[in-house]
Amino acid sequence: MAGNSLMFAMRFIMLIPMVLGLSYGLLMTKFSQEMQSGQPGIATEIVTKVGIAWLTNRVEKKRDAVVDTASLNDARVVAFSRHVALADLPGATDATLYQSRAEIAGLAATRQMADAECAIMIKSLATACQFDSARAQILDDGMIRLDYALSFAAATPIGDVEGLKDGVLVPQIVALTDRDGIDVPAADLPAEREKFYAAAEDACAGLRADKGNCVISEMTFAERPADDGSVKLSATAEIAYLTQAATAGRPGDLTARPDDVDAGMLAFAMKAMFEAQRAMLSTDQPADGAMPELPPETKSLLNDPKLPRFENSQGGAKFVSPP
Amino acid sequence: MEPKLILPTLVVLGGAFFYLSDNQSFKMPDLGLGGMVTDLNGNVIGAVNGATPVMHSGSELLVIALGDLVEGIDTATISGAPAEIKLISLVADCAITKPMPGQRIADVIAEPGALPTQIYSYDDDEFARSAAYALQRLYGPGKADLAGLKQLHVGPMSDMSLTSVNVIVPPGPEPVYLVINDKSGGILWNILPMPGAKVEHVTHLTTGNGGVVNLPEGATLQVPDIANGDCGAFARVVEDPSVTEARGFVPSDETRAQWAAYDAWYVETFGIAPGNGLTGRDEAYAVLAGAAPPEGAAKAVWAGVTGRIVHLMPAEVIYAAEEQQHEDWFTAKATAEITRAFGAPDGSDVLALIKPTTYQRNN
Repeated sequence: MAGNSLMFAMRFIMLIPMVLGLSYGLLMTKFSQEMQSGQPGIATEIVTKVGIAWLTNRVEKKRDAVVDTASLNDARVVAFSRHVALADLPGATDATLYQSRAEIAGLAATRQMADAECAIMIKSLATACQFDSARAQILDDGMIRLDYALSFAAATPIGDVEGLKDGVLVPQIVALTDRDGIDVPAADLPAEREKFYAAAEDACAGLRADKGNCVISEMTFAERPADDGSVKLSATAEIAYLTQAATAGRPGDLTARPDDVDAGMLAFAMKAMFEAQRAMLSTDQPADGAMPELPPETKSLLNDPKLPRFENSQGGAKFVSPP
Repeated sequence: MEPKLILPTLVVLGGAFFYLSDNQSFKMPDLGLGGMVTDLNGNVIGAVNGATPVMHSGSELLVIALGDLVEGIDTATISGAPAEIKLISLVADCAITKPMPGQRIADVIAEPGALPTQIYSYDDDEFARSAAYALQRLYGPGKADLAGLKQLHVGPMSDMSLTSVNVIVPPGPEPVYLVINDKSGGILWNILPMPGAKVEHVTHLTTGNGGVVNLPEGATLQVPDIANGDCGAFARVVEDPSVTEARGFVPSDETRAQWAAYDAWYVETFGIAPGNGLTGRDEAYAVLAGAAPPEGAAKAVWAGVTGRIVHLMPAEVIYAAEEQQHEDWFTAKATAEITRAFGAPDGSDVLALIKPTTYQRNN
């Protein structure tokens, strides 16, 4: 009897993922139908709300981690991307025979590089520093790409964040070199990076003076070997300040939480998508096959100067808030 | 289908699944030990691969059970401990002994068999691959708490013990020159001559790990390094160009050249074309190295791995009576790959090496 009951319970448990899968499939089917018809309904509302809730939660977690300047976490890092010749990799025994050994040697090397950099960072930028993450990727040209990041506790206090516990974190990208980078003799790289740490601190100090607070949330260094034996170095810093949600400057009608850039963009994208689909399905389309005129509401959304803009930088592409 | 019908349909299907899943429907039929497949004239045309006879032609089938040819079968001895594991010395420069006049050549081909041994064999790369995978995951974004890591898991990426394929050699007046061909390595060939069969020589062609157990007394075993092209022709790691064409693709000139070179070497060495041997595919138990013996022929005496000498390709090998023993052995080997890369001696505390160090100002 006990065995039968157990089997019944197990079969019942087996049904749970099936039912969940069915529900998900139905939701997506309905959502797809609503998108095709240009008429948002209950599925669109559910998808949008779940998406916004997830993005908002993610952004809030990141905000809290960034402004917790005394802690070591992966929201506040200095990230490196280096191309190293496999032959120069210490410990890459049989690297040509076994790529895996080269990967392990590369990861071990990132630990040594990270430890050396931490020793530099705690002189200026940080009060504490720790290896955070790394990745080694074998390239075709006898090189290995090493990406690694160090988390750090900020040496400079963030400033006045009174009453901003639920505020919005507004990031700004500071290009420390031009896009192509600068040529630096390999031996001078540590000293050069120290200058960039100082430059990032200066930029943050300026923002702090203007906005009341600032934190360096990320710095990136990309290094590639140059033809003359030196290293091509490019660097960026991301500095951020906390401000009230109401003054964050995003269009207020996009989402219930306008303080969230990603969530705002999602809501905006949803709305624009449906507006565009409705325009496509409308009876008064241009006869020459050209794209139909977007409704005024969509056009005004697209042209809203307060809308977050898409920015491409050395540190990667991202949405940033308007100034 | 109307969207509103999707849910009720799936609910009905789910209910049927629920009703029918009584633990009986999913059981595979018990096929026993299987055997070889011959036509009615006794010519072997394949081997039983568990559920489906594999045929070389459209002849009528006659299935011979393994028990008709071998007595005292005790499959438990396949997973037992060998008396000794000897690593094979590969034949340099492909200087293998060619078949002599008067010898009967029997070539057999197999994919990994149905009965696993408890002998594990790995290249060094397997340890390095596992170690690299584990370290990339640990150090990658979204990782678990690296500082709080208590144990490093570095299991094998393609964990499998060698599997056995029995080669039954039927009796005959001529001594036998046996050529055993792996399709993908991982096989421990168990050679079982029937009374009246004399195996003089075994050539093992493989691109992977594996080997031979119960090498008949007086027989020589040779393994050329075909995986590294030592015979002037790389092993058949590429697909048969005719198969590629049948799939509607055009094989490259390089593939054709490799295939032709291997064929030429095989014919020149053994005097027969490759790929026509008796086949045991996809978890075969046994292949018969020759024509089916007459009914009532004396049976081969079963021997497994237990207490026998196992000849294996050069690799890191272990017989592990328990799975935990295998895991511990593998972990130690893979961990050593990491400690060496960190410049630490074998046996060092790998967790201490890979965990992050926190640097504090004024330290």
